[in-house]
Amino acid sequence: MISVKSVASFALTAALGLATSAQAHFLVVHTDEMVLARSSDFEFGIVFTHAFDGGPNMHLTGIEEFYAMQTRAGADEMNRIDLMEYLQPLDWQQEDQTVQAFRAAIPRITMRSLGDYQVVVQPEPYYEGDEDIYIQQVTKVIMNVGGAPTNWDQTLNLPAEIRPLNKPYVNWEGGLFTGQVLSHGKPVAGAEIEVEYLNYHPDLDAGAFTGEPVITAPLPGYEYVSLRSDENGYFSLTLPKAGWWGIGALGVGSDTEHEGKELSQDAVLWVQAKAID
Amino acid sequence: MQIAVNPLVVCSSTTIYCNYKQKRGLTLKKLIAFASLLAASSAFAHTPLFDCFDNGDGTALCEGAFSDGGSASGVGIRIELASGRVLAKGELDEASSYSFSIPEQEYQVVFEAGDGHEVVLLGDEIY
Repeated sequence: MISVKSVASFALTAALGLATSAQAHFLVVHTDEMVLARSSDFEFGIVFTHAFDGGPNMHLTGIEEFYAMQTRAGADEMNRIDLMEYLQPLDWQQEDQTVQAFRAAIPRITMRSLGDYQVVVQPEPYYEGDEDIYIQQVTKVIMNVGGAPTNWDQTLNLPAEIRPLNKPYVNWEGGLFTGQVLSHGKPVAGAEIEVEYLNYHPDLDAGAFTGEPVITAPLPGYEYVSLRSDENGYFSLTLPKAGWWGIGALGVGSDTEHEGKELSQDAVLWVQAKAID
Repeated sequence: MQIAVNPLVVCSSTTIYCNYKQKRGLTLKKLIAFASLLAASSAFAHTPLFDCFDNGDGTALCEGAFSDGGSASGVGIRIELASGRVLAKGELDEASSYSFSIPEQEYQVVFEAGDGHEVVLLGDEIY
C-alpha cells in the first residue's frame, strides 16, 4: 500500500530531479592535483559515473581521443601531446557491479615544461538504455605545471566545450566561478548545465570509489545543481566546498546522432577548489 | 642578493602555491620580501619561475618563465661549482630555455632574475 506521505515524497523527489536518471552522469577525469608545483609523474583515473553518489557506474567501451593541448610559458602556439598510449583498461567496482574504466600513468617528461595543459578526453558514446539515447561527454581538465599560466582560458574549438573565465585550477572554497558554453568556439545560449561534486575518492588501485562521502544532500535534488547559460553562453556559480566540481553542459555539441539514435554530446569541465585555512 | 630556492619560487600576493625549503635559510617572510622586491622592480613585475630537467644523456635543459606566463627569453643563467667558479654562462633562448652539459662536480644553476636577484637550483635537485 502506498501512503500519501510516500506519494508526496516521490513527487518531491521527482520534482527536484532523480540522481539516478540519465542526468547527473559525469565523466570523471581525475588526478590528485590540477597544479603540479614542479613537474612529476602522475596518474589519471577515467570513470563514467554519478559523481555525487560514486555510482551507479557506466561501462566505458573505449576512449576516442585523449590528449593535452600545451602552451609553454612565454610562447603563443599550442602543441598537441597525444596521451592515448598511456591508457590502460581498469575494472571499476561497486558492490556486485563491475564496469570498464581507464587509468593513465603520465611520465614526467610528457608534461614537464612550465605552463598550462588542457587535457581532453573524448570517450566513445555510451548507450543509455533508459532513454534510448547515446551520451558522449567531451571532458576537459586544465592542469598547470610550475605556476606559469598560459592557455587556460583559450577555446580548443571542440564540438562541445566549457571555456573557463577563472583559472579552473586555482579557486578558493566559496569563490565565484564563471565559464562560457561553446560549440566549435561559438557561444551556446540557454544551455542546460549541471554541477556536481566529486563526493568520493577515486581509488585507482582498489578500482572503486572509497571512503566516506564528503558532503550529504538534504534531498536528492541537491546532488547536482542546475542552471542555464545566458544569451552569450556565460554562467556563474560558487564553489561552496573544497574539492573537485564537475560542470556539465548537456547536449550542446554539434554531433546529434550516433548509430541511428539521438546523441547527447555534452561538455564537461572539472574545477578544483581549495579550503582557506 | 642570492637566494637558494627549491626550485620554483611561486609565492606572491596573487598565488597560493609556495614551494620552498626553510632549511636552505629562506623563510616565508624573506620570500615574500623577495617577491615584493621583484614586484617593485621596473624590469620584472612578476615572480620568476625556473626549473631544469636531466635529459639522461649527460645534458640538462632549463626553462624559465614569469608568474604571469611571460617569457624569460634573454634572462641570464650560469652554471657554477659550489666554490663559486663559473663553468658556463649564457641567456635563455627564444623558447626561454638553456641546455648545458652536467658537470661531474657538485654544482648549481643560477637564474639571474634581474636587479641582482638570483634564483638558485642545486644540481642534486635536477632529475
